[in-house]
This record gives sequence, C-alpha cells and structure tokens, in this order.
Amino acid sequence: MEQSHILNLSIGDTVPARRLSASAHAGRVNLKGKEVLIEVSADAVRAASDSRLPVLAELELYFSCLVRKQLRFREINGVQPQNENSSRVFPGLYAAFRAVTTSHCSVADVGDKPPVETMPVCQPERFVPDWIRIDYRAGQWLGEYGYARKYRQRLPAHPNRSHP
Amino acid sequence: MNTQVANTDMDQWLSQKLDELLPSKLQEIESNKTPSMAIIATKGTLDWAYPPFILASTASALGWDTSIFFTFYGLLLLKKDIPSQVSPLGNPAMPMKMPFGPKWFQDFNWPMPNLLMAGIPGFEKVATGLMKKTFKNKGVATVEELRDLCLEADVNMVACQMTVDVFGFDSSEFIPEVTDYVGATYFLPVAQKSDVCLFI
Repeated sequence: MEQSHILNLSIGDTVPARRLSASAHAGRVNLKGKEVLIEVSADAVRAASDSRLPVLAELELYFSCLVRKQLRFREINGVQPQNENSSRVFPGLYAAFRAVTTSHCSVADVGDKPPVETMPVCQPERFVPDWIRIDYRAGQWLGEYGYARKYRQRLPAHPNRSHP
Repeated sequence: MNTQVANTDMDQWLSQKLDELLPSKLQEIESNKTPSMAIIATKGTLDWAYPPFILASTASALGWDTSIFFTFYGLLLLKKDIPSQVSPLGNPAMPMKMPFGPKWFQDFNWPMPNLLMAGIPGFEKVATGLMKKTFKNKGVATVEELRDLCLEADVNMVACQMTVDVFGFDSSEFIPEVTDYVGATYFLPVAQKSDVCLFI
C-alpha cells in the first residue's frame, strides 16, 4: 500500500467524549480479526466523502518505556487500500491497526517520521482496541481509541444505528 | 579385559557423539523455547503502577509467558477501580509541570517546597490529576487500559493471600480475573524458572 502525505496527527484526549460531534455513523469494523466499535462524526463522514483519495485511520500502539496510543490519518493512493492490514469503515474511510516500537523513548516525538518500526506482535488481535472515535474539525482529522473490558461486554448486538 | 576395552571405546564414541550433537540440539531447544517473565509488583502509587503493566503487556505482545505476583501495596493494582495516586512529596525527581496552557507555561518546572506539598490538603489529588492529564495529552494508555491489555493477552495475575488477610481485603474487591490467591512458596518456583524476573 502506498501512502501519501500525513494529513495530521492527534493524540490522547484531542476529542474527549463531551466534545465529540454528534455521531453520524456507528458500527463495527474488523481489525486483525477483532470486532471494534467505531463512531464517526457527521463532519468526518462528509470530509471522507469529499476527499479526493481514501483516508486511512491508522491506530498506532507504541510500545516503549510507556505505551502510547494515537490515531494517524493518511490519504491513500495507489492500490486498493483494503487488504489484510486494513478494513473499510465505509467508502472513503479505512482503518488499520499497527503496533510499533523504537530503540529510544520519546513520547513527545510526533513528527512526520517518528522513529518507530512495526513490532512483531504475537496474536495482534489481543492488542486491537475496543472502540474508536473519529471526528473532523477545522480542516483536521481528529480521533482517539481505547480499551475497556467492561465496555466490550456492554456492546450491543446490533450497533449499526445508521450508515452514511 | 576385552569387555573393559569395549566399554572404554563405547564411552569415547558416546562422548564424541555428544560433543557433535549436543550444541546444536541445545541451540534448537533454546530457540524453540517461549521466553518467560515473572514480575513481583509491590507498589501501589500511580507512578509505580505503570511499570509492571507496561513490561507485562510488552512481553506478552512479544509472545512471552508472563506472570505478575501482586503483594503489599501492589495489591491495590488488582482492585476493580484502581485507587492509585501519586505523591510528589519526598520524590524530588518528579517534574512539576502543567498539562495545559501555552507552551512556555507547560514547559515551566514549578518549584514546590516540601513544606507546601506536605501542608496543603488535597495536594496529592491535584498532583494525581495533573499526572493523569499529562499522560492523556500525550496519548499514554491509562493504568486501567494497560491492565486490560495484560488480561486480554493472558498475563497470569496472582495476588498475595497473606497481604489480603493482613490488610483486611476481601476477594470481592478485586477483579475476577485474578488467577489465584497464593503465597511466596507458589510464586518462587515460577520466578525460578523464568528467564526474566523483576521486583518492582
């Protein structure tokens, strides 16, 4: 998969729940064999459909002296973006999970080319998160993801409220 | 006499064969072995809650067999709602920075006299809140999330039964995923057989 420039980067509480725009799409996406609950705001749905190229939301789990979660958004060009590493959320938006590691620790290192490499995780589905939230605000993609065993147990049987 | 000669020849042949075959066989066994790690978690403050779960989740991600023995204050990390707080008092290495405001404000390291930290009621709650906010801003997974990751990755979590008794806890206060309530005699053999053993 060829990936073009990084659109932007968001970390942690960039989109806390209380400020998340009204969800226009709620459903599940299969990442590495695990069902993940995903919510996408109306602005994000619109931005994805307006985008010239499909957008990939990469869920990066960074194993270092601390464990950092962040969502990276990239426009994808070239070959069909859906493959064994990524899944389609809806036309124009794809999601993928990637565990990374690095030889030195710097949690503030969030440049275009972070010094990370893919980590060979055994049974990666166990490290795939339980939920993802994606928003688009002031021309920037925003998002967060997380883990919650309790939350997972509360997942509704049929969570698709609507589809864009 | 002939039997003795035959036995000596046999011993020499066997010794030579072992020298030839054993190194590669041992190497094969070593390369096929799943690495293992045993952690003894003894601290329950927020800053010390991270290391056992970070190391355990990372080891599990790499496919290692991992066990954590929670004893003394480390037992609090098995509570359903982790009550861990951080105390800057007596911890001079801890930077005191603000997780909000303009960059110059966030970069400023606030000098906090011990007298102030010890005297102001609720200082630990404020420090805990600031640390959690800082970590969240940086996207660092919470202690609860790391524990969930460990559980998802089948990290074996055992609690010290004696500590439970001494501090008057009840097993219903802990997460149901605690594998067992044991003593040191249970965990020491686990630690003995582990490739990596850490006391935190």
